[in-house]
Amino acid sequence: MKLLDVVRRSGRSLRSAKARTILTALAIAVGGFTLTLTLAASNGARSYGNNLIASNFDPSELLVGKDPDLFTNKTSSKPKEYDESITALSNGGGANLQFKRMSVDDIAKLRQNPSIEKVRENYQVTIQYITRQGQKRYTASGEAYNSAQKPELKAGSTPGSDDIAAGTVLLPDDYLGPLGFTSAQDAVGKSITVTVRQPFSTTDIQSLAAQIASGKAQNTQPQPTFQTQTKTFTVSGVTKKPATSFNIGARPILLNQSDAQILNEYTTKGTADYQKFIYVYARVKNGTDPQQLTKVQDQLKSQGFSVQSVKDTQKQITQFIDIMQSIVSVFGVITLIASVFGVVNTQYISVLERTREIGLMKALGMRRRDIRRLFMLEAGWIGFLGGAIGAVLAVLAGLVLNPLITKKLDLGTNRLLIYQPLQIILLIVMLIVIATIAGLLPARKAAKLDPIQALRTE
Amino acid sequence: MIEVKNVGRVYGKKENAFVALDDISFSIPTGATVAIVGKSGSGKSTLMHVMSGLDRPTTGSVVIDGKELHKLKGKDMDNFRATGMGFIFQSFFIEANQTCQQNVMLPLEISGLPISKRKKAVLAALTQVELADKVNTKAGNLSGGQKQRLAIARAIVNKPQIIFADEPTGNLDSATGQKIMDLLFGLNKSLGVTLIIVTHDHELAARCQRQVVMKDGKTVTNTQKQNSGSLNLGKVGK
Repeated sequence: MKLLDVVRRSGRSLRSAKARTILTALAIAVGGFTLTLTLAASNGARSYGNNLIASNFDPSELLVGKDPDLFTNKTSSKPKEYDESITALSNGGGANLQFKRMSVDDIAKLRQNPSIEKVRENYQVTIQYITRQGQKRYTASGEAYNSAQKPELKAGSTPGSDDIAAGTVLLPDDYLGPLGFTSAQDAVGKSITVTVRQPFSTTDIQSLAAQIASGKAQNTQPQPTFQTQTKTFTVSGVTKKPATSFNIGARPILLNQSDAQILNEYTTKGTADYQKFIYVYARVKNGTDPQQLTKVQDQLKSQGFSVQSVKDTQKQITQFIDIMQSIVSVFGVITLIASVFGVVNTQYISVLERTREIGLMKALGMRRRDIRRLFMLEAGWIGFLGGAIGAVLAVLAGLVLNPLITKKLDLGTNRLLIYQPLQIILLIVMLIVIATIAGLLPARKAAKLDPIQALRTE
Repeated sequence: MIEVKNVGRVYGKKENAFVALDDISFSIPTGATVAIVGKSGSGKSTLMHVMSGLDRPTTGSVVIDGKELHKLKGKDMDNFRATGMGFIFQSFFIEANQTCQQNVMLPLEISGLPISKRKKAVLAALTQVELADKVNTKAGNLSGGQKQRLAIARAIVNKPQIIFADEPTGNLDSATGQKIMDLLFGLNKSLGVTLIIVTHDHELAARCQRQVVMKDGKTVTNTQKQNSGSLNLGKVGK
């Protein structure tokens, strides 16, 4: 018997038991649906992760810090040996993360390294408020502009790979309304003022010192009067909320590197935070060559730095996605196992129902092998149907869910569910194979039927 | 030429042994019509199963055209059944939800006839049983007589030398049964096919050139019509 005949005949017998076939296939479809969605979600998450990295990091830059725990996933609960650079980052809920920090000496050491092209400190600025003429004052935070992060602009422009000009800022679009701008375009070229505050009230300290020196201590507590500094900046661009961003809170105002440094040092001078960095960016010469990057990374590690490359970050994200994918896949596989029993059961019933037909085929000289193949192929067809139904439903679900999710999570042009035809085809092939194997036992029973007994069944 | 030589068939073992066929011998020349007659349980169906290779004899042998049937290997036996024999059953055994064409095509698929030649062969067989206009009709929609004619078309589509018919008129009213009988004997004449009919129906048996009457696994009488002198008389049961 030709294989094509067996395939057609098996398809025909399935069509004559439509309800049973479709119900059994639906059991497989549940597994197929889950697995297709899982694959699509993992594809989407991976692609989102890659976009996130590509738009936030320069691939030839390394993050260099001092704390050995900085770039590990685990936070060590062991006490660390104290050194002056250690600072605590509040982690919420009362837990503190204590990190050793980079000092000016450490940064100088990096700058001397011939393999490192450029070191960029990661200046964060605590701004007291921003405002402009005739408007109220608003809280804000500031940060040095990082050309690798390519902020999306609503208006204005940024210079390609260079820093933005001194005295200019990129203003988040959230401030447009509060600061009285009519549009993003309206804000460009206008000026705003940024006010920062010194950590100590130096005048009060001086007056206290004078009191102590004169021996006439007064009982009244001095009212702290902090010294502030206000700088005027020109808005050179308005940023909009990016789809791929690590920032969770309010977006910072982006400043020129040296402006950020001046403001940062003004607000930290005299404190333990002065000229201390949890990490800095170090751009490696020829850093696009992964071998060179790894070499420098190892070299810095041997000098006692903690180093992370973009690839490491990517690996962490991918690892996380892989774990999530495996967990969800397990559920899909469990459903599949359940549906395999469905296939076995259906096929046993099919063999029972068609005892006479099998007897006839054997009497007419059909070979055992062909009868076995006939029933295994039937099971395979059920697997194909189940896989196809599951995949189609999953793709339809994607068409409906993708716009909703993208809107809800503000993913911009990113899609959470990405379907790859090859993956879906492989999945269906896998389901066909599994169902065919499940059909093996009933098929063997059919092949072993005694034609005389079978034909006697009325 | 079919030679049944000292065929015995015993089911079960030792004290439970049941002798279904006991030392049966006769021979059928090519193109003859033979009726195997007997009550239920007389062994006539078992004899047919042994002669068609569905069952194995415990002793003795069946020789068809000089070849010992039960010495054929599984594959050759299947092949022989697929191309050398046709079967007709009391309850038709046709697939009700398939078309006439699909039903008749089954033996061609089994014997592996090239797809291009199948439709022609099916149509020829259906024409012979006067069902050519029902090619694409679902078999379930046919009347009882038409169903049996369809089964006959399926039996002859591979142009076998032998047709085994197990109570072919058993499920039909007498008028329809008559037509089926006419058709079978007509095919015997026009195609020269050897016809072996297992039946209760004495009228049908009487139309055969020869009757093998079975009782308790033995052939009681083995008679031959006067006018068919060419037939070879076998050994009469003990």
